[in-house]
Amino acid sequence: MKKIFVVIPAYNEEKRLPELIKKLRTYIPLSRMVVVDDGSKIKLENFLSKRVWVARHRVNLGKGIALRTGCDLAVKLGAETIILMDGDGQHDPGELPAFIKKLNHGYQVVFGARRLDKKMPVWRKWGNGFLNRTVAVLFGLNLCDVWCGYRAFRTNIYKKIIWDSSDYSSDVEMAVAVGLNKLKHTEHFVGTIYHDKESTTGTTLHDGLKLLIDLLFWRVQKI
Amino acid sequence: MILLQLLSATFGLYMLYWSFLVYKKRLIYIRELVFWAVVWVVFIGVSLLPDSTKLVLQTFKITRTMDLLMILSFMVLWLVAYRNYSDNRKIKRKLQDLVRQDAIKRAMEKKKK
Repeated sequence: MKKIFVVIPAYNEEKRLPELIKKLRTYIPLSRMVVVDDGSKIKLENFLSKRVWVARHRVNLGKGIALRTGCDLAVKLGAETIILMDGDGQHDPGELPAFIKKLNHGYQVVFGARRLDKKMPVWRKWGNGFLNRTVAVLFGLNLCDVWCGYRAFRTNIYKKIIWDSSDYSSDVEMAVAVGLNKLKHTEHFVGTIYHDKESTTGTTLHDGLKLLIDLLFWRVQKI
Repeated sequence: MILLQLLSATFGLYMLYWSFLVYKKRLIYIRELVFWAVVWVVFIGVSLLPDSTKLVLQTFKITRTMDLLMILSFMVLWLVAYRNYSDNRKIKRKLQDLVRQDAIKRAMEKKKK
């Protein structure tokens, strides 16, 4: 079995992260978990087992940069497969084996895709739909949920998909790189747990507009 | 008009002095001091002797000295804005690299202990 690491960026998630780690233990050993504490007010390592790898940013740099730190550390530790999850417990660890199974079928990247069920806020459904279609038109990448942070990839393609974005758009930038490099990819539908309807830690309309500009910029840049 | 000229010249003199202070604190290089000194000396000169720009005004078909000053001011402002933008990006990138490397290094050291 390939050496699998889970990378979890987290910011001020001292309440939800320990629960997530506890659930993850069923599927993956603690020593294969990398948590990136992105400058949380209270150190997250105080709430986690000493066996979990915790890389702490001294200042908050954003999800994209935290993901890079986590992936770099995992690669240094010899990871052959990296699974990315959000630290707020939105992603169900129970889906992890399905991601690994799909990678074992020869895919280089497996994207998580949230089911468009009633639990998903309406504005997110519309925003995601519009974004997915824009990515499909600009990059020929037909994904159902390009913004889902739950995904897995083989580390031998890490350098090809490395991202510059420091915020939530890093998920999209990564997907765009997969499309441009024509990497073998698939999707896996996942259930999502929404903790609050008016979460301020997630993406906003402003993020969406900024991302649209980024998409156009990436398209022009990669011609 | 004379009052406005005097005000402009005083402002230019003050900015010249400020540029020198900033240089003394080693916040800018000598070449930057020279650039700003030239900018402010020209500014003072044009403020006190508006007719000295006649040749330039005729060459570039600009009606008034004030218009010339505005054009030059915008050029300098754009230059400074762009310089600030690129420097900001550079510093941001360096800070990110530094924080990331530090985080990885400390995570690995903690495990060794």
